[in-house]
Amino acid sequence: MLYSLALKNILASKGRSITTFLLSLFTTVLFIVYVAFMDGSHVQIIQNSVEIYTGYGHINVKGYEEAKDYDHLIEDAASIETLLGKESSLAYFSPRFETYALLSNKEISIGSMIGGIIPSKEKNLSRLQSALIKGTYLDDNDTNAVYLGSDLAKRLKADLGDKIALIGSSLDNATAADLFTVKGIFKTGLFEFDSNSAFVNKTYLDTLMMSQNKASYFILRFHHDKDTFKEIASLNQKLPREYEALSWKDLLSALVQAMEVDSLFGYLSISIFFLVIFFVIMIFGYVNIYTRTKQIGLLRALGFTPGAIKKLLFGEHLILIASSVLIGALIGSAVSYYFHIHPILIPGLADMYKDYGVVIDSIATDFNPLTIGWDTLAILLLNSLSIGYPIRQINKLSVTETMRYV
Amino acid sequence: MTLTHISKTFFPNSPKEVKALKDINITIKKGEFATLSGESGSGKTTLLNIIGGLERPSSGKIILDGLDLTTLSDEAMSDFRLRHIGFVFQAYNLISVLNVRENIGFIMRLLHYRDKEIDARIKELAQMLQIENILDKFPNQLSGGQQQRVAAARAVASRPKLILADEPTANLDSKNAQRLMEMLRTLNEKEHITVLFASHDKYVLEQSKRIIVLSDGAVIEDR
Repeated sequence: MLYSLALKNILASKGRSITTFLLSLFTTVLFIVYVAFMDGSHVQIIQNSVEIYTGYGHINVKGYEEAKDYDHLIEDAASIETLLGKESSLAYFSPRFETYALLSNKEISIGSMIGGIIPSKEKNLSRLQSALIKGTYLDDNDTNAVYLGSDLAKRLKADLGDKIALIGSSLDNATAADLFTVKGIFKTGLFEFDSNSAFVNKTYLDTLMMSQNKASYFILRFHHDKDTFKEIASLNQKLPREYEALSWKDLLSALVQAMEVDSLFGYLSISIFFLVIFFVIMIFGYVNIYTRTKQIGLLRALGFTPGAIKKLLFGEHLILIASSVLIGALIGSAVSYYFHIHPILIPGLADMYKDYGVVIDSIATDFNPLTIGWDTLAILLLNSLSIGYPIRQINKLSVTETMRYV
Repeated sequence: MTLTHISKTFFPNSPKEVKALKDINITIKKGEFATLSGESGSGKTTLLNIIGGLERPSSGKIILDGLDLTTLSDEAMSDFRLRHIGFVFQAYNLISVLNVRENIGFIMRLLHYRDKEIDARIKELAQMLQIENILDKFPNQLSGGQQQRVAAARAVASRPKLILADEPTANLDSKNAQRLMEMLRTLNEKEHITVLFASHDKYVLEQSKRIIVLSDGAVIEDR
């Protein structure tokens, strides 16, 4: 009976019902798509940071991540390699040796991060090879070859074939110096990385730095990226006490936190818009209820309890809100899915936002059914509550007051 | 129903204070066909509203079958009205989104009567009130007389103990007023439903078996 009466009341005031429906629908679609784009950009930034160089996981000596010095190197890389070779969950792994040195070309000298990598193994662990823009990528037999970041090459005014002097400090605290020929130039899009990084074959760098059988850390990739956290936890159980396995969340904790803060501000910004929508829907509900005050008074006189009036009015609102939010969720999901598959191309975007880790000129949404579910629930709850105040106010009036209302 | 020392003061202790009812003591017996009469502002509608539980008295008691209605909560009073009281209002007050059939069966549905019972009762009342041909129409498609007959049918459909009618003939022409009074009288006689009017319409007063005259919030005559 209540449901039928609620439905008839909705149909009787079509204009207001359609406006409320559309407002709620529009809010839901907007919220879902907005969050999907916000999350999409964060996922993109993090994924780029992870896949370009950092990797999904590391194994290093405890304390290395904070100190990044020679006192926290893996002293017996071969034993760790043997241990990791037995790990069935690992798809790829490779040792890296990282140090800081001065690179000089003619009169220009720049302090840079020098990475010793095993070129053939890095292909499966990072995007260093695919980031090549000039020359050729390193190979495992290279000796005095250097692979330069594009912006670092620009700063050094160096090009392919140029001789670059490397001056650093070896593990025995002696000066390590050598000449390297620029073999290739890469551009990942990560501005900081491209302007401060250079790579050489680890085998050769080890002879220069006296770091044979040593590594700063091992970079890891599991068969399934989504299992990274679980596998990292499992690895931590198996590693000798002085070592630790870290996931990309630990390695990029500052970036992850920055994304979380950005998300928070994103939610805060859109919540102002929702607050406006909330009050608009509430005002519509208010007007709708107050124009029917006499009918509500009549229902009270005929025997409707205040509770039944609450149920009736809330039911009417819920029918409208639930249907609009549901349809809005479906439309929002479809839009999010479409832009997940077909990212929006914005020429110049990467250049404009290079400092924030944006490396491609397109924005894609993050299509996550769980997030969409929570978004839908939040809108449903918020819009449903908007009718609470008008109902409370109307139920405060006595039966005779409502009956006299015109 | 016994009303003892019923008083009603609007806006108490304020400059706008109005003493609408003063120490009313009356008893209404089952099956009565009575009218509260008096000039405008004499307090008859207020008294009717208090009897119907639409308004609470400032003091006094209303005892029905040993139960003091003034002690009931809002929820309990609503339930009491639903089960025991039928209202006929001056302005008809039909539910605009429901058709005539649904309006008449409205209270029976709230009381969870079975569909068969509701349909039978609607048919019976429609015949009695000669409104069979308008059962599928909506209130805005009806004349004033038709609306008041539908309102009366709604009020009596669930066979309440008491029907309260506030100026039911005020908006009706003499023919429709006569028809309505005849119908209420028939129901009163056939189904022993107590009917209490608030009216100063001469025709209603002529038809009433008992007249309680109010003046300035007090009973000045009961005959």
